[in-house]
Amino acid sequence: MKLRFQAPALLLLLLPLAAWAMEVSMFPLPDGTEVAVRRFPAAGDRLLLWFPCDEGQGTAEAKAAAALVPQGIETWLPDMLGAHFLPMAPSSMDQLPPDEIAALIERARQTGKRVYLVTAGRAALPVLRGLARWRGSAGSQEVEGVLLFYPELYAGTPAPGTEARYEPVVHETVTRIVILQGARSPGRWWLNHLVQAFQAAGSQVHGALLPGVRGYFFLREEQTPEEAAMAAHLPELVRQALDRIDAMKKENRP
Amino acid sequence: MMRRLVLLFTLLLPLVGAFAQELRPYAGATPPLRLKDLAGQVHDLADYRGQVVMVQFWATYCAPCVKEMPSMQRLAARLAGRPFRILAVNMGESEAEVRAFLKKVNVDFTILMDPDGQAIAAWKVFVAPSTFIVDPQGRIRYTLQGGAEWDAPQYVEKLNALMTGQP
Repeated sequence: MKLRFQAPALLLLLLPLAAWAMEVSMFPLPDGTEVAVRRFPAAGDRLLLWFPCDEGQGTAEAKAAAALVPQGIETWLPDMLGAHFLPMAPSSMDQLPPDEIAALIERARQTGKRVYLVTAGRAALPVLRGLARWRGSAGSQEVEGVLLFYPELYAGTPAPGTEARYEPVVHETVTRIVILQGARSPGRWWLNHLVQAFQAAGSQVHGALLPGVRGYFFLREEQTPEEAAMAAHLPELVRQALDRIDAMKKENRP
Repeated sequence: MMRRLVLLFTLLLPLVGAFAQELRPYAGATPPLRLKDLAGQVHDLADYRGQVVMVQFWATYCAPCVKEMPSMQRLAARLAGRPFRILAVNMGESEAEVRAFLKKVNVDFTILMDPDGQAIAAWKVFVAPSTFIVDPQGRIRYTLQGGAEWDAPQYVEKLNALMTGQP
């Protein structure tokens, strides 16, 4: 079993965060690699499997995770890019193996908690692929749903004037989805288009615009005051999305 | 020494253009465009037949859009008196935001407002900035996704060719 040396480095980087009751675990992946997972244990029955796309250094996600602990919401933050020494880039996301995401989903499900997937931007692609891979072997089991911040799911960047095509997984995903899209982004004009594509595949979907913010608002170094304010509300945004997912589940019950 | 510098410059000059994006030929349909400017005057693309029109979609929050605007202004100045117009379509922002922006960025080409995103949908704009070059017959001939230095020779040549009816 290979050990990655990023774990000690991660621990050094994250020592200041120790006050947030965070633990770092090394989870084995199917190919023998290990992925560092920051875990924020909580007493409740909700577990977020949150895939940051920033080489595991997402302090915004970690701060939100820590804030969710008192609300009984546990969070795991796997450092998928770091496990493969991939740079933070959309092309890196496309390379993440679905098997590894599926393995983490299964590991999360084994806790017995209700599992929700959270991610942003282009990381939506490997996460949905991983969910599809996991569902293929999970039988009737399911995750509760998926929260996507400003997802980037086009199959190649669509040229101006051409029809946009989504990655095939959009048309294969069947789950409950909440999409939060920054209103100050071109993506806001195509949110309904993406919602309809997911719905056509059988997913229950709720899409909402976040006023005054661009994409990656909680990751930007040069945040506007509006973006900083919205980023500070990240825990509430996540919790409200989970509540929305639960409501969709109740709506669908016979 | 001077000869070596000239040689080096000559060898490197093509590389400057090599990093600029190529205009992408377009053969699809041209949607209608009918929007108001900041003075409330309606502009219809059909009224610009006989001119080459650069329809650019932009937003104040888009850094490449902001970066390319001075080059668009230089292009407009360079082609003044020729059958060429720029129509810069703002993507759904408020007039207040746009007016505040224009106080800082000094341009005098036409700014059109698309408050409901109807033109964005009709023209299929997914990224800002996105630019469409429309020929004098009212057909989109080229598109470009992302920012550019619009007064660069490669773009001026294409625009000149369209204005003079060259293939």
